[in-house]
Amino acid sequence: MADLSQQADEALAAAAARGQGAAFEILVRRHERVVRGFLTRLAGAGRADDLAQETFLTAWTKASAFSGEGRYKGWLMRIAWRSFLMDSRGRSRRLPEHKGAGETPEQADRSDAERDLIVEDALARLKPEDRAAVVLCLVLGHSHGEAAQILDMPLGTLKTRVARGSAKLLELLGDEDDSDD
Amino acid sequence: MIPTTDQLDRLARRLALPERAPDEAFVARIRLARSAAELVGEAERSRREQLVIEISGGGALLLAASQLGQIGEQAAHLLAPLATSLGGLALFGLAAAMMLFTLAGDRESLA
Repeated sequence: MADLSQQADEALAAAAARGQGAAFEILVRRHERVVRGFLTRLAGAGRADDLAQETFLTAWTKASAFSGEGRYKGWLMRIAWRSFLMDSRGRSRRLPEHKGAGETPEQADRSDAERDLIVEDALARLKPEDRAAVVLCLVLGHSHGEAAQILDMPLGTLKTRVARGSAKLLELLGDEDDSDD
Repeated sequence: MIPTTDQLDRLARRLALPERAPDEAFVARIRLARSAAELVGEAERSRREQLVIEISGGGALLLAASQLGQIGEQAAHLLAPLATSLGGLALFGLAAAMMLFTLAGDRESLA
């Protein structure tokens, strides 16, 4: 039998659809960083892992729904986005999520953890759709077309959201390069 | 304000996800969650099967009861004309004869 870990996502997805748990586990290992990263940027670190678990469970139970068209990663991100939306709708009925737009994120100390908090805080001030568009295109390197498919919105709308979200983030975070590289 | 490419590059670097090796603890968490979901699915399936069996059993009992009822009704239809055509005295005589016949049978069997 060929080494599963060497196989492409699509072959592994087909094996997972036939109920092969080992193939699915390789897909989880391959994509968990990106899915959890996407959800961390969207929902915050506190909710990201639970949403990622839900995303992978849905991907497992609906494995046969992946048609093989497009990238498996894109299909996963689409599930992650929907999980996030469902969760947010449930939460918004229980408690208000958005923070006051008047406050600006603290930028005094710049340790890694604080920098992450500042970024998380700034992202939380964007509308969820703008946040998702920026993260998909700027952080995860998806093309505008792919991101529009993942978020299920027209290409023009997606581009507007990326531009608006980026401008707002630059305004909140300031236009300075404080990365370590 | 429309951000320039340089500004977007810098922003992307600030938002970038840290590079790291796969998180085996998370992979194990998903494995456990899958097993748990499968167990829950199996329990639901067996509950559904049990429900189907119980409903089928109930249906069979209802069918049997309705058939017994029909047989009783047919018997009643057969006996009703007989009862009306015979007089009360004749019916009493018939019942007494059947009783004596049964008693005689019992004595014979005891002897």
